[in-house]
Formats: sequence, C-alpha cells, structure tokens
Amino acid sequence: MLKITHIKAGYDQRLVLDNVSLDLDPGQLVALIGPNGAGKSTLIRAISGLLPLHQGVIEVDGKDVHSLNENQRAQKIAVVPQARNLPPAFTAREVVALGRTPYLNWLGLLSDSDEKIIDQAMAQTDTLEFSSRLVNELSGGEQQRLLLARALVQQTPYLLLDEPTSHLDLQFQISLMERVHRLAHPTNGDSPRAVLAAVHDLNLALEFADRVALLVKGQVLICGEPAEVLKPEILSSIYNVPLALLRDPNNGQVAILPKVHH
Amino acid sequence: MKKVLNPFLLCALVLLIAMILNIMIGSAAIPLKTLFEVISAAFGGTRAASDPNGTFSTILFSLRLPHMALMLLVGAGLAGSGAAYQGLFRNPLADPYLIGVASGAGLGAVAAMSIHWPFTTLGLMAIPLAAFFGAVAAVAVVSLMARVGKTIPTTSLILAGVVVSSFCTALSSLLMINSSGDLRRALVWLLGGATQTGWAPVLAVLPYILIGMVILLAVGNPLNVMQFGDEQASQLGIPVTRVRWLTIAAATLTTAAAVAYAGVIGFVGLVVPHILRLIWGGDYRKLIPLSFLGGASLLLLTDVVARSIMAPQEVPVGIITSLMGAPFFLWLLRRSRSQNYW
Repeated sequence: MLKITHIKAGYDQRLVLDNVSLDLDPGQLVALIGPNGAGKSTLIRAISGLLPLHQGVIEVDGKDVHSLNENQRAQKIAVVPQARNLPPAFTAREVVALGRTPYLNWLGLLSDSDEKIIDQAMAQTDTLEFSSRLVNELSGGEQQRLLLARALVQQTPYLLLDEPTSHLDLQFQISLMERVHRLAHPTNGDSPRAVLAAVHDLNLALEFADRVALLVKGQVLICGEPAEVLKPEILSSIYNVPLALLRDPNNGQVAILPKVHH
Repeated sequence: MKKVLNPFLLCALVLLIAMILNIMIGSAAIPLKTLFEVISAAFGGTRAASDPNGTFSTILFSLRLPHMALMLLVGAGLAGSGAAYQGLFRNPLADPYLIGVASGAGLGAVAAMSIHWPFTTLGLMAIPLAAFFGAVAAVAVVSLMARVGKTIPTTSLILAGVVVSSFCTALSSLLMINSSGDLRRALVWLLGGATQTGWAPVLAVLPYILIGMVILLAVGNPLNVMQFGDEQASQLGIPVTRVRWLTIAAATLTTAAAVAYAGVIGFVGLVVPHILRLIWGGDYRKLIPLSFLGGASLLLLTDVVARSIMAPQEVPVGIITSLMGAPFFLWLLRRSRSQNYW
C-alpha cells in the first residue's frame, strides 16, 4: 500500500500541499481532480520523491519514500509525465527501454529478458508498430503511449500519471484511460497495480475511476466513489461554474456538463 | 548498412589501420614488411634481418610506438569527453576545447611547470593533476556563466567558453614568457603538440585516462535518461546530481590528462561524436565507447598529416585539428540552426 499521511510540501516559501492524506491500494484507479493550481502535479512529484516534505510522511509498502534511493524508488513507483519536449534523437523503442534503467548493470546493457519485457509493454500499449521511428515524428497520442509503456517496463506496483490525456484527441483520451483502467483491473493474470491519475476531464474520472480525490487549494476536500464526489453541488462552487449532471435515458450513463447561459 | 556492420568492429578496424599508418609514416618511413619483421623479431628477442643495425627497432620502440600510444590515449580521451560533455550539457556543440576546459587545463599545467615541479615520475603525475584543477575551475566558471535558468543554451555556452578560453590562454602565455624555459617548446605545446618523447608521458597519462574512460562508460545510460530532464531521470532511478558530478569529473580528468602531455588539441571532441551520432544515433552507451575508438583513429591520422605536411618540420597536431574542425563547426552551427536546436 502507498500511504500519504498529513504531508505539507511546496516550493521555497509557497506551501502547495497543505495537510494531504491519501491511500493507494493495488487494484484501484484513483482519479485526482481539482482546478488548476490545486496541487495535482505537485502531489505526484511529492509521491515520486522529488519534493522534500515540510511535514508528514509518504510510505510505500511500509517504507518512507525518502529513505529509498532513486533506484529503489523507481522499482516501486513509476510516473507517466505529460509528453512534451521529448528529446528528438531517440527511437520509440529506445524511449521505452529507458524504463528498465533501475534493473540494468553498470554498462546499461539490456538482457534478453529486458527485451522481452519491453516487447510486452509495447504490445500492450500498441506502440510496436512504430518501434523504430524517431520520437519527434510521432503524434502526441503516440508519444503519450510510449511514456506509458516506459512506465510499464519499470514493473512497479504503483503508477502515477500526470494529466496523461490533456493534449490528446477524444478517442485517444478514452483509449488511454481504458488501458490505465486495465492496469488496475488486469484480465490477463497480471498483478493489479495501484494507479493514481491526475485528470482534467471530470467525465473521464466519472467513467473510469474507482475512487476520486478532489484536491482544492492543496487539501483533499473529499475522497470517495465517483458518484459521491462528482456531484454538481460540490463541484460548481469549486470550479466557479454552474454544473449539471445529465443522464442518458437509454443506458444510464452520466456526464457532467457546465450550464452555459448565452 | 547500419545493421550489417557492427559499429564497434568497424571502428576497431579503422583504429587498427590508423595505428599502423601512424607507426609507419614519419621522417624515416618504416615499410610495412619491415615493421612486422621488427615487431615479430622483438617478440622473439632477436634482431630482424631487414634491420641489421637496429635503427628501425630503436625508432619504433623508443619513438614511434610511445608517440602512437600517447596520441591514441589522447584522441580517445578527448572524443569520449566531448561526447560526455554533449550529453551532460544536453548540447550537441559542447567540446572540451570550445567550452574552455582544455584551455583551463593548459593554464593549470603551465602553472605547474612554471613553478618547476620536479622532473620525476611523481612530478610527471602531478602535472595532469594541476591541469585537472585548472580544467575544473574552467568548467565551473563556464557553466555558471552560461546558465540561463535551468538550461545552458548553445550561444551562451560557446560565448562563455570563448571568454574563459581566451583568459586562460592569455594567462598561460604570460606565465610562459615570464619563465626562463624553452619558449618554442612551450608554444608548440600550447598549439597542441606533444613536447616529450618516450614512454614517460604515456605512463603518466595512462591511469588518469583509463579511470576517466571507465567512468564515462558507466554514465552512458544515465546520460541517455537525463536527456529527458532531471525530474524524469530521477523518477527512472538515476541519482542525477551524483551522475552529473561524476561525469564532469571523469570528462574533465581525461581532458586535463590529455592536455597536460599533448597540448591544447581542439575539435576532436566535437567532430568525432558528431559523425558517429549521424551514423549510429545518439545512444550514449554506444556513442561514448565508439568515440574512444573514433577519436583515437582521427587523432592518429591527423598526427600523420601533421608530421608529414611540412616534413621534416613537425606541425603541432592541434593546428591541423583546428584547421579541419573550425569549418566543420561552422557547418554544424548552420545545420543545427536550420533544425532549431536553438
């Protein structure tokens, strides 16, 4: 289990996370939502050990994240960043292979079993077909899937995603979230992962998350089932937009939409 | 072609040819056949029939071979350091000469020589160390001056390099004029020519360059990961700060040792990794060892040119590398601008 207990963290004098507590369990996809500047990315950076904590503790499987070195941490927690400014000189496969870094020998050479793991992850993310193309020739959606594959080959029980869908077209948003959901609920016998995904789109959270954590001004305001958290009466005031929950009469699917008055 | 030819095998073959050419060609040419006879005879402890007086044997073992070994180590070290600096600064135009490290090392070495370090083995080993401190100071100043936020843009890197380089070169010149030593020798050294013959300088640089090379081999994968930025590198398991210091230390140590005995040789660290990158890609796990092989080959061949172009007069090899490297640098600059590197 990944356990975040009363952490405070920030940059220089500015406190961004103010007393955040949150648990991540294997087999669950937790969506982290909240308005811009609420601290979603900062929380992900903090969990991955990049930020010193002013207070509180983050434990992975009973160990303080800050007591682990980079290598040990990278074997526990993988992060999928936003696909922006990727170095152009790498092929798709080379990018994915970098995820094996925590397991390599001093010369950084890949073994046959490393290659196999890379193949699997690329198959799982549908990236094999452009395996030998250069990263800068790929679309945003393809790059994002590569970064997901890179995180998968780290073979960590915990996976953090920082707004993985924000630059993607609609169909890619859905398919990426489906893949991520499957990582928490694998059907192929893999062990289920604990996934935390910061998402912008409330409807993706509603559709795919097992639990939703609402982060506002550096505090987790509420964390629970999607239907409990994603209520117009809670969110309207936080996002400063009147919202409505619409239900499709045919299949019962719900969506949150802003009420816009012209 | 890229897949059929093993890059390491190919580069090793080129190196072997460069080594043989480097030994054969010179003020007294050693024919290939004689060369092999002399070497095989020496292994048997006898004298070759084609070398009755032992002249070739003497030239070979006390002049050509040590000189070749020195050039090999220096070329390998400079090119490997160049590749490492490029990865570290995430800038394809970094080179030990252009970023001022070589001149800093030069200043350190001149300072050490001018206070008359004892001409013993220990003294010989101490000159690379003095060069190392000069080089470290140059790296520190250049990276501090060139930093804009968290990145080091090419323009400011090169400008800072030029400034530090000019300053160090001026100071070195001042020290040399002030000292009573052989000015011409010092000038040759500053222009990138080896001034000592025999095995002593080879043995003096060997440990530094070997240690540097082993460390540079180990930072190949970390440098790959660091191309994605410090945060992602850390999340992928790289202790970024430690790797950065280790890389700087290794590349700078190697450069300093090379400069201390072969003089200030420019552009090898730029040209070699660049050509290799164009052919086999930018994977530092491959690029660094290939740069060792390629840098050694290039410097050995350039050294042949330097020794024969105005024979019997020997031109410092650094002059030739700069004559070839400067236009190459201009071409790269234009190319990289059209590709929006900066």
